[in-house]
Amino acid sequence: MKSLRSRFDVNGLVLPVILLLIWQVLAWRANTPLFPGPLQVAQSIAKLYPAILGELGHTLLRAAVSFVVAAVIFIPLGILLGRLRLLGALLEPAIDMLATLPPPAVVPIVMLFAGTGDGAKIVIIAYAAAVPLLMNTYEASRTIHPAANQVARVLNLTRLEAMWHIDLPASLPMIATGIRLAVSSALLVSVTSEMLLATNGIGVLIQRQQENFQIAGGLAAITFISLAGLIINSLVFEFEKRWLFWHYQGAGASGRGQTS
Amino acid sequence: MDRLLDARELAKAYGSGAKALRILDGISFSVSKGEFVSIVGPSGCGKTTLLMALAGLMKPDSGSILFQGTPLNGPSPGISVVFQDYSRSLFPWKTNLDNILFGMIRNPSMSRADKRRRGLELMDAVGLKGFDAHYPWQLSGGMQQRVAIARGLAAESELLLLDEPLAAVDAQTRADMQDLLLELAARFNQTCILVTHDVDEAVYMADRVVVLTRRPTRVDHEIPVDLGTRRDQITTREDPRFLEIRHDVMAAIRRFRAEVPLAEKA
Repeated sequence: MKSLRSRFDVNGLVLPVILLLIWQVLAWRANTPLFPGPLQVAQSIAKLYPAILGELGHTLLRAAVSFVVAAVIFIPLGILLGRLRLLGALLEPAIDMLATLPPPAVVPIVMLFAGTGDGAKIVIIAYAAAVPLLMNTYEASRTIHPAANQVARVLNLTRLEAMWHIDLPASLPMIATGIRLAVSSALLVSVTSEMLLATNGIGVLIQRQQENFQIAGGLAAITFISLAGLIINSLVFEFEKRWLFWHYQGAGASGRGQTS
Repeated sequence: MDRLLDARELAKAYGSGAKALRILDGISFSVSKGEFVSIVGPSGCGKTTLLMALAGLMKPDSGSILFQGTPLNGPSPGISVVFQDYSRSLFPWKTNLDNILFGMIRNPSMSRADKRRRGLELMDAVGLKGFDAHYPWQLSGGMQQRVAIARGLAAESELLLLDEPLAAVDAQTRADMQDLLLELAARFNQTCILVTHDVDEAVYMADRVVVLTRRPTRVDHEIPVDLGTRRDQITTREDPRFLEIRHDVMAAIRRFRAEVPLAEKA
């Protein structure tokens, strides 16, 4: 995945511009509000953007809270399961099963316990974000090279110290991949869960627009959520490059380990 | 003499029943304070298994290891290890200095500033002055192993185990590193056990060589290396006594190789 800056080079813009032009021509020929072109969408954006931004704020806040909840619980849990083999082996089948369960499918069950408010949505979104976080962290911490564990044992580290000083940093590159997947997942499920049980958020806005045949308005809202996703992904990637420089640069330098 | 480590009748087998692979078959030897002992044997003779047992990373099936007079059950703060695979035993997310300071994590009596000072001293001692803020992956293999050696010394353990530390570096670097290790051992009065498959290195470095048999492994014999404390890459290696000891060790190892049936060799 590239950063925002390098993604916006001129060559990358050619295809989208062509597609927009084709879309616009088709929209003109169809000449109906049910098939708006980019210009109508732009007009809707101009008209609706205060409302869209407000709703987007609700959505992003819920997604962010849910993501943090998931990260705080499931990254440490993944490390723990990776290090305590027995526990990992015990829980792995359950995790694999839950991982394939689509988050919207648990909505009715969550509603039983948590109602339809913010709490329920946060549970569902956090569940969606938890799967890639837990699986990547667990896999990374389970597969740490035995040499690192030998160092930990020779230095008489406690289990907790080994997890903090060795397992966590050694797992970070894979955790970062999990984080990127979890962020996308959190955004996606935020919107979905709003459509199913929300009172506010961009998901509700999109649904209302479409229910009222305001297709252009719906597309305007979708444009915003896509842009938000793009910006957030790029930010995550920037952080990753900054914190995991040793992984990216170190991997490039590892080939010259034999000479002096 | 002042005994530091006593290995008595160490035995270890992998698997059980008729398929059991006996690796160690009653290994006994001892190491005194301040000594540099090399352990050398034919390929596949269980040197690594022995080293793991000495480091407390593996429990032998029978026999015991007395370290400073008490039985060794698991890793001890008194024993540090320099592993062969420096690229995996150093942590890429830590700077060289932080990697070395990590070796002092079990030394609560020292203040942060003192640890830092000692860490920098050690970097100087292994010839890496000025590389403290660099990362291991920015260094060559030989330099990385110097960081690992400094980390091994940082723990100020009574015993330093060297697990073929120079097997992965090129020949010239290797000679320099042998001299560096000898100099450091003398300077810090560090007791060392070097496990290696390189006969020349074993003899050149050690005060005493312990020669192992092939699997199931016992101690074949021991030879004191009476070449004085100052060793030189050129003159020591030409010394008739060096050649005599080298001959003795090499002959023993080749004899064990010859005893292996041809089918097993392949």
